[in-house]
Amino acid sequence: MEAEAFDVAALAPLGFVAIGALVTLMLEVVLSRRAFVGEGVDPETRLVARARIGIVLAFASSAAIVLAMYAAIYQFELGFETAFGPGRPMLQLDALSTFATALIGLGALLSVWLSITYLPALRINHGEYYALLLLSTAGMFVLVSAVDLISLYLGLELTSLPIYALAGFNRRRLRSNEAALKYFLMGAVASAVLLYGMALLYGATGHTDFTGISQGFAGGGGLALSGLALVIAGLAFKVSVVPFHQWTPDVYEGAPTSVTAFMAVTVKTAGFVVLMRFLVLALPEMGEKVSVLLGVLAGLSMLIGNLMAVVQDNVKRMLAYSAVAHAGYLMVGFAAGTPEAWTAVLFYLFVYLFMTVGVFCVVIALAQGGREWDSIEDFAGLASQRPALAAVMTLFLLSLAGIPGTAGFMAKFYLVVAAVDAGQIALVLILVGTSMVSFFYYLRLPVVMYMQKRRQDPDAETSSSEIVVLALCAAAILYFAFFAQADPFGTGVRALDVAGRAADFLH
Amino acid sequence: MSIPIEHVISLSALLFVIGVVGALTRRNLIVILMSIELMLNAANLALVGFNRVWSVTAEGAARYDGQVFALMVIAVAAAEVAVGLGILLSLIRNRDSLNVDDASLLRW
Amino acid sequence: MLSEYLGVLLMLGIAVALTVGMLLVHVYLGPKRSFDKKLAPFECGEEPIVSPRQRHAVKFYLVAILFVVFDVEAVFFYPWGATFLETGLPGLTTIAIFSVPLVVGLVYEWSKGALEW
Repeated sequence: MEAEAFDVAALAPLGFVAIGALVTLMLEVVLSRRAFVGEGVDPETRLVARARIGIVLAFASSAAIVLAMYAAIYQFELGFETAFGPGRPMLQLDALSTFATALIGLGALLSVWLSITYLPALRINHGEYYALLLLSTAGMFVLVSAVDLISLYLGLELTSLPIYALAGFNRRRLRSNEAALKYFLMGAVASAVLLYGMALLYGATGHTDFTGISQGFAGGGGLALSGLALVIAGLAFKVSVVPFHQWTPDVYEGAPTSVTAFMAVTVKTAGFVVLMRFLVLALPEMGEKVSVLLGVLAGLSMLIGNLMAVVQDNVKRMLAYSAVAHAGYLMVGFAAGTPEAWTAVLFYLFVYLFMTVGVFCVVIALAQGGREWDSIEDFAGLASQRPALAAVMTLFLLSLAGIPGTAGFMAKFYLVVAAVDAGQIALVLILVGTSMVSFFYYLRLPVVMYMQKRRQDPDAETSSSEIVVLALCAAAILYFAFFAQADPFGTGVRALDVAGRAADFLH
Repeated sequence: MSIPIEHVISLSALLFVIGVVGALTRRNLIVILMSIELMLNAANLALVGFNRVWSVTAEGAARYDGQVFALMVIAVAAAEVAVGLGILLSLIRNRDSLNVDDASLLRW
Repeated sequence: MLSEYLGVLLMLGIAVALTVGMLLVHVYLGPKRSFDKKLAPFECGEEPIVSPRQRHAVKFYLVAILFVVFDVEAVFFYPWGATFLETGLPGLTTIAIFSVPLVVGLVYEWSKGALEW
């Protein structure tokens, strides 16, 4: 068997991030050696040195992510549609993978910027953080272009393992330990279930690549169907769809907030993209049955996510249930399964990134003195003390609720239109109904911020990196609220068209 | 003597079920980790077993998809256990217990 | 069909019978003459100060974790070694690239002091 040479340039985005991870890992060792020579360094100097090293590492990882995104987009602009893998395709580089790579890169970039001042504020400024974050990003790059069960599994594990560690990054805090433990245990069981499903699919069809599976699937059969169910369950776990959502609130609450923001946007994007590719490529004929199954998952997620969010009094926990609800909205698009629906789903993921990063950034801006300020009471009277912060928080929440005039509304609008066209009327009714419920808990925070008196008096400042992230997210939400399909500045790029092109990966 | 595929798959399914039950019902973290390993290895067994069914392509060339997959899984499982034990260690340092029920700060 | 497994069963039976048999032979035939001096701990004439059944130090687990990862990664070196002539230069470059993260990881944990006992 002669090994074939293959185009290594295809792996450039992945390579930049992976090399970036190794470089930041070693950079931290080298820099901290230099800073901490000698025993007589006092803690104060140590802390300052750590903060400086953190900034250097953040810049290094930003550079790696930007290079990766640039490489992905550049290759795509060159018309570089290729399948990577010796002998047969393991990774497929196309419009969808480029779109998702850019989206995940953006989410990772914003999370890195969020961490610059947050890690010192929580006193967990260790260099491994950035390396783990980059490794996880590399895993997601693999995941979004995977066209084979093997690369899917490897990508999923490379995504998850660093995030398990990141969730427990606040090592001295019991809640963080616990979040990591729960996420790890449930995640490991889920990936084992997924793997067993893959083994059954392989056994039933004789192929591990998606197109091969679709050929071998003909007629179904018990083995293939049970394998399929296990695979969908394993992937549903990663994107926190009911009934596989139990880890979400615990992990969102217990993990450091910058990690929560990172995994809320990027893992969701990667998970949904790979699910989309798997469903379209491997099961083109299973339409009806799978769509019913996905519809049930969607309905349950919307109902349980929105209802449970109402009773929370921790903001991160409330946002976790809101994430479950949003996963449900996205699943409506999956149940519809038309090209328009895929476009709407991708556009939704795009908008969701800005809303979620923004809202967690506000929580991060409140953190100080080694503790999070994340209960609803901590937001009381915020408007009088930090009016700008309260204003953008309100904008993000309105967008999450999907109120007209925000990008969140447009995203939901396209999703509803696509679902109605596909005849998923029941799901659309649930979507609209539960969205009404969601106003209640999303609007509770602005009420608390604007109507109540300030109880505590934290003197934290919004740092410049946080201001950049907040401004970017707020601007994006306002911009795409009005110009999702328009191009007012003549850049030649329309958001919805880009999403549409990405969704067109089948043809 | 050749072992029919049904037997391999039955054994693998049995191992998988033992693993699932162990992971869901046991309270000792180390035992849960072992159960998860059992699930992964059940999948490995199935992959290698199915590879015997699909061992040649239509053109008659040899195929090793299942075996290659199983190799990958072995490596990934080791990494997974390493991360799991690391998380376990940091929990033990904060609280001297190996029982999952003690991890109950986060509810609802 | 199940009769095909007879060999396995026979092997299992012989193994169990042999082990149990040898233990039993020892119990029944071995002379047992115990007296004070013989029951006392004999290592360097010291009374034991701690129970040997206490828990291992956490450090032990740390080294074990590091070992497991590097140990199992070797799983990829065997297929490469077995097919070295067939895979040639591409195989060599691939395995070289594969080794880089492993080496970086090793250097990292070394310089972090994880290998110091």
